[in-house]
Amino acid sequence: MEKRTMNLMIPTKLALMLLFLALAGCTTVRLVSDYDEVTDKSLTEIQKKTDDFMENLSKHHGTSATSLDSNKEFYEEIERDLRILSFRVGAVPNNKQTIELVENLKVGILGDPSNPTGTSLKELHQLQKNRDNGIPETTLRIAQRIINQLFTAALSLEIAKKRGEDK
Amino acid sequence: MSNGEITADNLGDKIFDASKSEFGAKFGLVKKYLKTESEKLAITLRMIIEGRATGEVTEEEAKILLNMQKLAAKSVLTAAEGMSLLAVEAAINAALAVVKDFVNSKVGFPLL
Repeated sequence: MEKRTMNLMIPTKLALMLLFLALAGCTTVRLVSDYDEVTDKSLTEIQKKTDDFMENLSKHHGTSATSLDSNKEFYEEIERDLRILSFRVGAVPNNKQTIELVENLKVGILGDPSNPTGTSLKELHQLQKNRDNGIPETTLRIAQRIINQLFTAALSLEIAKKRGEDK
Repeated sequence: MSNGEITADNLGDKIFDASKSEFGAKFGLVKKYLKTESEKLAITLRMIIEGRATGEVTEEEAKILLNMQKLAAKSVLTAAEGMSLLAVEAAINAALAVVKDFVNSKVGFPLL
């Protein structure tokens, strides 16, 4: 019995060693996609656009400039930007986490049709009491912190993918 | 034999040391990220609770903000997952580099 176990262990050890040598033959192992400059730049641009928008809502609160109707264009533009970014990150191999982070941005800014309670800046703006005069200051500041944290998560991971060689 | 030399006897230890060192350095950054972001999450949650208590945030708004907050927590963990994978990847590659150096030095030319 003991001899049979030993006989089995030798080929297993050999196979593991060969596997390791074969892996060593590859230059490097990649578990997560490479850093993508386009993703980094797009995230930074969308973050800036969204942050400027919220600052503007705060500055002009109570005026018609902050009504939902006056700002439809912003939501349409962000929807388009995030759709383009989703295509981009979806085309990169080993990019599961970034795909999820971009999806969370979409849900946090524009909403999730499967969640009737609401999950987004747009849905805060769509509330009956906020449609005409915009989102009130306290609510807006909290939403801004959350949205910035969503962007930070996506950007932090993208930057971490630089793997030290070009940081 | 110098202490730094890789031999068939100490190869396992060298692989372990290289992986541990790479993983430790990278995982330290993941921990730092998680700590900073968890503090941010806690502050935001406190702001929602306070805003609701003072009436500055309506019930409808609070519900949406809490859903957004859940999303942010999910994103922080997803980013940390990706960063942890990068740490594992660095550890594997450091180990492979040790094996590569060992094999190449034994055969006398860059085989791997």
